[in-house]
Amino acid sequence: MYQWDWRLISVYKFVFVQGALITIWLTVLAVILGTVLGTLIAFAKKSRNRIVSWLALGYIELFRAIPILVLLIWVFYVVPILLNWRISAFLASVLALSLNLSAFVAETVRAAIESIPSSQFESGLALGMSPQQVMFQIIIPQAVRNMVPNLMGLYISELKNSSLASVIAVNELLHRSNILISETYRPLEIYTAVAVVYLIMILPLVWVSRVVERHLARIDKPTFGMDYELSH
Amino acid sequence: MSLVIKVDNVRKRYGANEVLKGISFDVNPGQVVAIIGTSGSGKTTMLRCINFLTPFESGSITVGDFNLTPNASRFDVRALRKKIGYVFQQFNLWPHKTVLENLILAPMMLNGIDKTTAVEKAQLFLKRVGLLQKINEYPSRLSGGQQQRVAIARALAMDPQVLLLDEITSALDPELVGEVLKVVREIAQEHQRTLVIVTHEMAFARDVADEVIFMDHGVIVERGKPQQIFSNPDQERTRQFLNRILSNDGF
Repeated sequence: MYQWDWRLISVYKFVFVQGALITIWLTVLAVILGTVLGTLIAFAKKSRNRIVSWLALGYIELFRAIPILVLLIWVFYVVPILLNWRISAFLASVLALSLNLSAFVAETVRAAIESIPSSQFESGLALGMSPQQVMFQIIIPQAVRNMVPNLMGLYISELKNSSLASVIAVNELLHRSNILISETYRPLEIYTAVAVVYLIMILPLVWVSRVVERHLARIDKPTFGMDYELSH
Repeated sequence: MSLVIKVDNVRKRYGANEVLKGISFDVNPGQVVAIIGTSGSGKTTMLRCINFLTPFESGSITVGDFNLTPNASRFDVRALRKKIGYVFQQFNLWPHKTVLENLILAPMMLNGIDKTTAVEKAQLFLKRVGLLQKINEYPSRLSGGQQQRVAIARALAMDPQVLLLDEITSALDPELVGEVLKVVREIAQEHQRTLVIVTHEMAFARDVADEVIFMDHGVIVERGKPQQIFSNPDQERTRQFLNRILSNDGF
């Protein structure tokens, strides 16, 4: 019969707090970089320039296909050789996570823009607006509302994916915990605690995304000309 | 100020299917013209060609001083569109903007007028379509008929000299058609704007139009005063179309 020893967790709780802070920092950086990059790629994909569009497509397929773990190791070990620059494990992780995320963000952004009916575009053009004006005034504000739920889902996954950085010894939650296990030989208690810490980080995000989603649904139910009768 | 419209030998094809087979007609300033015809006759395509929402292969469109051919520059096309108000079958209001924002966006951005003036104008046009009380609502809170009246006000807010109405009551529940037609009737009676109306509402066409054009299979079959077209058409095809439509309508 296994003897659980939970005192250990409270003794070493600073390890979990420090690890969690690195995990959050890693995720925040990857989310910002991945979102900016992904949005640029989405617009490149929609470009009328065939070459730009093809390059964007290649980028998306490449980084969606490579497992994050492979990408992470590749960046960490190959970049120093190619660029003669000893990249830190933390930076390599940010880079690999954001490259992967950007491919999914690009697809989300593109799909959200394409989900706006072309009639919305036409009604702007018919008034004399330029395609760019219609894009920024009419299409993107609506598309953002559509993409928020998906993006929130991607960001939540990103927090979990950041645990992969433990493989190249980034001091995030999982890696700190693994070190602790090697010192204390109490893997069951520690992995349980790790799971609980991830849960504590993720539940507020899930809650926020639900609130945001509900808020967006309330301020406008897009009608796109359909006849939703609310007035009688 | 209203403008003359001249459509000269406009041709449009989708693949092998020629939907406009060299259409020519003109509309005098301030005149109200109704285009009728079966679905697929090309009447909506014709209307869309006038403000270049649908590109066409050959021919030309003249609105006032503007004479545009299929390879017109984007700049000229936009200048033309600013003079033309277009109201869609499906309203196409912007759901993320309130009624007021729907009305002031284009005038502020394109005509360079300040917000106060734009809002005053918006209020004026909303009053005309009887929806001033809905000024701060989102479109999704309005009925179809109300949305379409807002769409008309949005087109008017650009001070267009020409108004193109594309089957604007076809997507409405029957009991909401009247309120929209009433607004159009008032605009037509002012004779301040040139109006081209594509419609399936024959009674309405007869009442408001100065002239009626009957289109079939991409050509204009007949054009004339409403009384003549509806009671004594020259062409057999017109007669058949009207018999079919009017027997369903209880005209």
